[in-house]
Amino acid sequence: MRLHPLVLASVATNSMGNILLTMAMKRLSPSLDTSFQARRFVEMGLTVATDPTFMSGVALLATFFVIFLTLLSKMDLSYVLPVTSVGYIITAMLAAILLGEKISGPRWAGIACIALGVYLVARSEQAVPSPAPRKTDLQAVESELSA
Amino acid sequence: MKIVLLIAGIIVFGTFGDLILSHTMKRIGDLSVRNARDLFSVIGRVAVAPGFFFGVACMAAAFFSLLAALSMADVSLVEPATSLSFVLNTIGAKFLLKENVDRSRWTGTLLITLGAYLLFIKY
Repeated sequence: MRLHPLVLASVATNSMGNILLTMAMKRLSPSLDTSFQARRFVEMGLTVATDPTFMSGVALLATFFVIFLTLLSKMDLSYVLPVTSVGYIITAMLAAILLGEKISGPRWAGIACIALGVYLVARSEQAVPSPAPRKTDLQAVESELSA
Repeated sequence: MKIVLLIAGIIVFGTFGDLILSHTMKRIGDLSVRNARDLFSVIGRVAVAPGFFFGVACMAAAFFSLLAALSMADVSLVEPATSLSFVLNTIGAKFLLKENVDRSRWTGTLLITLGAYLLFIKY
């Protein structure tokens, strides 16, 4: 099975972004609750905006969105969406390792189903259009000059 | 009843967002960036496409439906229900975007839907 490098990049940024946001929100929620009850919304904004973990999570999710749009510009939606669901597996694994969440029997079954599903979609025909032959530098210069 | 509407909102807005963004990004075409000028040209072409804003608006509506649903019900109810959006997306891709969805891709999509359901349902 071959996955496009951008698919892997989108999955990595999305999972890591979600994990960082979860870590940040779990840590910040007591102080956010206090600010919310006191209706100090600016303080809430400042709390999250000055938190490195939260902002790294947001930056990663923004990067994910740009990569996702790039994928959609090149490939079928019915390929991109199922294949990026491999991220569910990565997120579940990272959550188990970094956040200490438990993975039960049925969740393992879910992970197996997703893995098999991603494999089937990834090998489906015409998933990735064959890349255009790359111009060598010399050819590129020649076509620039003749244009 | 409200929770059903919110879950329907997540699925329908999310699916339309994906379909519109996919359609728009394919019409915009080549996004390869080799230098700073390419980067500005790409940003310019994306930023003037109405489909981009419709798509992002749909995604935002799906996200706020998700937040509202999560404030009302458990993740283990909301997330398994939204796994249906894989199926809806593939139906939309086939009939609206005219993508070629073969049997292997359909089987894979259904397995992923089942997997996402199993991953989030509570026992």
